[in-house]
Amino acid sequence: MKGQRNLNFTETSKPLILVHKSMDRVYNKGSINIMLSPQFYTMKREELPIKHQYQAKKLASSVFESLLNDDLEYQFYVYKDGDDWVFIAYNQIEISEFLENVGIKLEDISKLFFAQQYLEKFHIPLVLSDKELLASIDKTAVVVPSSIMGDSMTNKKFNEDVANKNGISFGFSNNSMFEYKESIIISVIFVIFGIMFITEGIKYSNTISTMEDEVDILLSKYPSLQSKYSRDNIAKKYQKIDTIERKKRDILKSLSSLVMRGVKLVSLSINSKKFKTTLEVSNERTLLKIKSIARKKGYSTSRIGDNIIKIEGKL
Amino acid sequence: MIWKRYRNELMVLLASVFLIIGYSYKNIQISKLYSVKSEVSKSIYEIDKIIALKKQWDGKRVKSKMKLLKKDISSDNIKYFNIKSRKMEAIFKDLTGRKMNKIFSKIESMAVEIITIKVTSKDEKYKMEVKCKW
Repeated sequence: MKGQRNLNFTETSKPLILVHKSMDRVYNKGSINIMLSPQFYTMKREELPIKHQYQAKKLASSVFESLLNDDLEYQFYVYKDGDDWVFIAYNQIEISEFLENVGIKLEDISKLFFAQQYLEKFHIPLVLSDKELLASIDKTAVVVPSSIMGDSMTNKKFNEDVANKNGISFGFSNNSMFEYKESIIISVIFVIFGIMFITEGIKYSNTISTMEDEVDILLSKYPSLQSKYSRDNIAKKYQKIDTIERKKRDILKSLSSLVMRGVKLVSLSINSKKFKTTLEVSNERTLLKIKSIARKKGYSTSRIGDNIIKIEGKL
Repeated sequence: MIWKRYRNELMVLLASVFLIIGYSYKNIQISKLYSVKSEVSKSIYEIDKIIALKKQWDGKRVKSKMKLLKKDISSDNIKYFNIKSRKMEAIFKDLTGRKMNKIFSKIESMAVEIITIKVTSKDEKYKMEVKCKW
């Protein structure tokens, strides 16, 4: 069985239509509220030692045990009236079929009320048809034959005022995948997560701005480096100088390391393209040693005479 | 009035769309952050490198260092020494090995572009020609 439909606490300004079995066809356009006569529900009043509505709702099916048709599916509505709990069981399918038969579209129905909730409207019995009245008798809304009321005062016009009473969402959510409460809970969870994601996104966005600001601050100190093009050009220019000059110095350092004991520098020349040096050595052993070191470094060597070695290379 | 029939689904759908938008926004920002982070690090590295290179090779104070070099060498060893604009040309003569090494290490330690260095020896003495710019 489906649980009790969810409650709405507003929307009381829409037209209210009293639904009873002898009603005429309705030609209504737009949103409406409906009030069910007792012909469409079963009511039971119980004095129970429970405090909360959800506890009462759990007991609803047992309260109606053996009172309802086992072959039908019932929904329950429970509310507290003084010291008593009022249990109402209704069959949504039966009600829906009846409403469609009298021309009320389910999607037009905003909220559903029960006559039991508005007993004060029926203290003076309301005329439903020539044969029936809706009256409040012994704290219960009932449909009675007109004949039993004799000459008592009756009310022919239905008072549509239903302010400050809870209604049940009905109609539009009949075939819904979600209950109203479920959809609210799911939506709220989704929205909370959405907000969390967006907040996180904004945090990341702020971090991005801070990082970009860091670069801007750095660039503001060096206006000439603001464009990527000029940065690349400057970097290229200085990088080239740096590489070549470091290489020249490395070569000079490595050539000077060859001038060891027994070795004399005869000549040296270096420019931006090549270098060349000649060394005079005192013995064959040293010459071979120098030759080996120079070759290891990738320089080309050639011997001039017995004790002179020429070392050269390109930058 | 059909929307009323599906009001619950519509509500969940709108919330889902909001969730998806939020999630996508977060993910877009994360990937943007990674890309900006990499770009920023690259830019900062580039800028720092350029600043360091520029500082090293911009030639400031080289002129005064060259003048100091001239002062440190005895005039007997200087055949020619000329600083013009951002260039230096010098010819040193009768250098001992030690003096020549001193000049070498001073020039090497300066942020100058060595155009040419030529060394020749004669009778245990060295002649050295240096051209550089900054």
